[in-house]
Amino acid sequence: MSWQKFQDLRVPQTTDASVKRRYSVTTDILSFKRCRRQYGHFVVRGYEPAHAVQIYYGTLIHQVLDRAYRHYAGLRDKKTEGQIPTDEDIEYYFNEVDTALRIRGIRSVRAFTHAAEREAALRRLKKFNQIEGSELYPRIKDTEHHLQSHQGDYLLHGTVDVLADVPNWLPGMTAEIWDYKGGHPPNDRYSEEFRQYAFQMRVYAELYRERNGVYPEKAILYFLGALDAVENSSTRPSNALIEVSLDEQSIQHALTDFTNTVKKIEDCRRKEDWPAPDPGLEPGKNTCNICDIRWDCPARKGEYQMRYP
Amino acid sequence: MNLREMLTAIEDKTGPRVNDEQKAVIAHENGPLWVIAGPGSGKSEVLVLRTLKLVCVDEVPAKSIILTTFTEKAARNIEDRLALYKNYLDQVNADLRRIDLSQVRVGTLHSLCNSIMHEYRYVDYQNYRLLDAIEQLLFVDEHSNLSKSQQEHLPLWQEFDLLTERYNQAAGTRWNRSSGYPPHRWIRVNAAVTLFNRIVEDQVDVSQMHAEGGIWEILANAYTQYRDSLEEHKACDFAHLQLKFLEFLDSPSGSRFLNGDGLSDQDHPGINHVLVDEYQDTNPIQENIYLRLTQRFPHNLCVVGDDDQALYRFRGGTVECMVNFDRAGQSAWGAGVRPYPLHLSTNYRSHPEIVDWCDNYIQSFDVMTEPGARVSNKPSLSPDPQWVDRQTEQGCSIGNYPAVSYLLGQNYEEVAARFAETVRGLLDNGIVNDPSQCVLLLRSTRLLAQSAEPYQRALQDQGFDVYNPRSRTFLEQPEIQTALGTLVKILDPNQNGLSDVRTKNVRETIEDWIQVYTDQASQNPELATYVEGAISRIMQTPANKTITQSAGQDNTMSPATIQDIFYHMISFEPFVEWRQDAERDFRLGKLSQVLESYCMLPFSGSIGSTREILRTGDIDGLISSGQLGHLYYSLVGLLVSEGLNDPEHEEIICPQGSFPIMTVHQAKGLEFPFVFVSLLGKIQKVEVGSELQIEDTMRQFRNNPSPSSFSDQERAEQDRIRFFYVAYSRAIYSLVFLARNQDFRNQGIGFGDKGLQWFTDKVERL
Repeated sequence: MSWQKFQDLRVPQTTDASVKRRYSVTTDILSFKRCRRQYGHFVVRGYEPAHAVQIYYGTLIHQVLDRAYRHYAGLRDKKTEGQIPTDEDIEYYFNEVDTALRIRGIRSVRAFTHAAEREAALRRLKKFNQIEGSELYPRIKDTEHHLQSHQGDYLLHGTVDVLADVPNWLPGMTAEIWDYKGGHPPNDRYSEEFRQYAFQMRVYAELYRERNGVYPEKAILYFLGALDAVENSSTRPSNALIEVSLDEQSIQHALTDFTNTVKKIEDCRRKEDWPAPDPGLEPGKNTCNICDIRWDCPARKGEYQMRYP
Repeated sequence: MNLREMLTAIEDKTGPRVNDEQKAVIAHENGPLWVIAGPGSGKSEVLVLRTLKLVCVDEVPAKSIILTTFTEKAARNIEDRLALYKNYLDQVNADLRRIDLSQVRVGTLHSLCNSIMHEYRYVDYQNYRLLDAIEQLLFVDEHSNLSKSQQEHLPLWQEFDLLTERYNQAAGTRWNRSSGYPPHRWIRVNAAVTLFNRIVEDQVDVSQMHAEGGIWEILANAYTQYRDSLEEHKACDFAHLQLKFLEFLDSPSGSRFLNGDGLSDQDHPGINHVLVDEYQDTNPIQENIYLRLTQRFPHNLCVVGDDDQALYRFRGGTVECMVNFDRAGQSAWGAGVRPYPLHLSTNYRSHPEIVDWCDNYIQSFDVMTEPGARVSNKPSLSPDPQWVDRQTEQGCSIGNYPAVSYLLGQNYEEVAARFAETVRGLLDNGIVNDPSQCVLLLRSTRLLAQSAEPYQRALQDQGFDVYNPRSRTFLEQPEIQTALGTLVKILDPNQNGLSDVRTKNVRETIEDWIQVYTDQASQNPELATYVEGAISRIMQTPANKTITQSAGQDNTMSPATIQDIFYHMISFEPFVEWRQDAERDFRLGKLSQVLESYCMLPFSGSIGSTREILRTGDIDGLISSGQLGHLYYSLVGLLVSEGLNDPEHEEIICPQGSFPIMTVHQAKGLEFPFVFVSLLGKIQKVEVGSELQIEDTMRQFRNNPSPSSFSDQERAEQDRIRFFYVAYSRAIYSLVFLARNQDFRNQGIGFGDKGLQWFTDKVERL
């Protein structure tokens, strides 16, 4: 037998050469926390969502705000440096992004109410620019600021919408981190939705500390939906901006939560099983209503009537 | 921290890591560096340590360093090693903790082009859809003139006969140049994609091509039209991604990226160092990007590679980039700039007999010893003198065995059976611990009688699970056939559209799927009921209307799409059970990606229109014949023509417990304790391939073609020699050749230049 010529040979166990897994704060951790079944399908198993629509509104908001800041910073055109964009500028940037997304075939969630949603988004962006621009833009150090850190067996990364200098501090000493939310602010600070937002900001705060040695001074969530309540004005509605507290204890709590979530993800990976959420832990209806795999979801048994075709 | 302290801090944790050759690479100060590194010589490690030295010793801003690798997996591996070693350094020198090494830009050149242009919000790239290979084929099929069957294009297809004279699965025929009509649609589409990519990658001067007239004018016009269509629809393929990046470098934001903003060394320091792994597979546009990135004095471009391991000529890779790096550097930066050559020639990977075999093999060929074939003054590959001792220290028993051997059989079946028996014996007798410690390397992993089929069957007969994701059997899986059959059943219930399909293989394939659906529906009444409901909903839609979905929970109206139908159907048995099986679920996930690609690609003439939304045609209750025809000819035609591979695991090379069958390209950069190769080569001359034909014909339109003093035939042979060399040098403990008796004649590339006797003198028969 051929193998006998090798009988004196003993090959050692091959060491596991696989690379550390990468975890994104939003794509992985928050998605899994929202619903592990949905995460397993769309993130791990590679299912492509039926509608690229969920990304329309978020992309529009983020890209227009980014352009508004870059307008002020003179990064698009040196000539506009130091100038707050006008309503016309905002509309121009809005159309630029909207057109690009339209060419790509990306539309809003409900094709039939697209125009109304589009108008609402434009109004919010103009108001944001009027209310916040002159105070915020001069302080911005970076937008879509990438942070990452090796945490033992895995690597954690995330992107902060805005990194801004803190008024009355020397630049570079510390910073504010901002995250734009396109929708309305949650009704109370104890809601699951708000807790997840706060969790996200605290993890970012830790990533920021690992790079810069100190926590950010402030973590701010900005809800553009709150701007619907005001007419064109320069006064910010009180519920538009919510600061997330960044005390040591709450950050440590978020990190523990984070580590536990990674363990749960790894556990599902090992078992190659992504079960529906346990009773009582189902995500909000808003999540399930637009989930492509809701039809046979054990957590929503019978709640969704099959649509045809 | 100085270099000595850095290396000591790391070696204190890991044991000795670097020899003098490697240290010279790590220590090199400024200016271009040309590292010629043989297989197993620790080149990735050297890149990691050099990067670490730049940041921690020379205090170069991390963000000003670019390190490119050939695969994303390799990039992640390098990032991990950087972080690990940095952690060791932090422990001895707390000052280093302020340095954030994660800012080093590590990735494939493609991924870095993509992320850098996004980071700098390059307007001509933001919001573009980056097309993968399947999407590029669909896009060309939809938008390019060359996908149309036009008699005036015939001479073009004849000119590139090595590209077009091939069998096509969808057509069921092989085209040949004397047939008097253009080749089948998917041959045209495939050829057009190859030509367009090469025009970009070879940096062909399109206006010069146009001026040549005749077929060149046709090709130049077709390319220009394709590029315009990409722009019009905000789409970008992988070749154009690189072209856009070059354009970005010339823009104001590109200049800020390259040269920094002069304000902050941390945020925008500019680019100070570029390190490139696997440089031998670089194509001309990539070479240009690297030279451009390091245009600033002192031109800190460090390229690492091995000309003997070049594999990617078909993607425009030219081994000449590696062989002539000194000349390219001088011509880009000035005659006074001389890249400094350094060689890494100790192989730490393989058994000394394997190292000697590989070295003897490559040096045995006359065609490899002529000037210009290899990097000049290249030293021989030498084994690590401590190899056996190191293995013993790691608990490996070496003993006396043939490290290089061969195994013969009467025919493929017998060879395969003996091979599988050997693997069984290795495992059962504890020589290896897991089948994934072995690999079988083949030229093609398709399940054909002369490729992987007999081996895969023999392994399965011996009770092994086989991991062969590139066997192109995606479409043969029941979950895929049932899903596609269900979709067709709903969209074309009476097969009116299908009866119009003229391409026999496509029509028959779809008929098979419908049959598979019918069989499944008879056992799964809920699926059948859903399909009836779906058909009836479409039937209620009047002519020329968008088909809407029946009202949902919140009474919203929404248009019906192909993807919705997919998600509806998989909520019923048998899909629900299939989805419990990870392998099948991954496949259904991939099918959903293909459907998304098909649905979301723009169609010609109508900006922003996609194929996702279903409409009726001129007849009430029937999907428009145009939409059905397109689905059959484009999507199904493509699937049948290409055959699709299974999704591959992103993090692992081969799952534990399975035996991997791979192509040599898949195995690039990897190593395996036992390597079986059926690559000895036949007696015939090596055939010149289409990649050389294209390279030669495009050369006349290139601005600065790299010189090659070899004929097509010689280059084809050199490529084949290198191809085998890569396969052979993957082996750690044992390299086993597999051959039929009839292949075992006097000549064949695998026997070296000196023939069978030379081979059998060196290699032991099992």
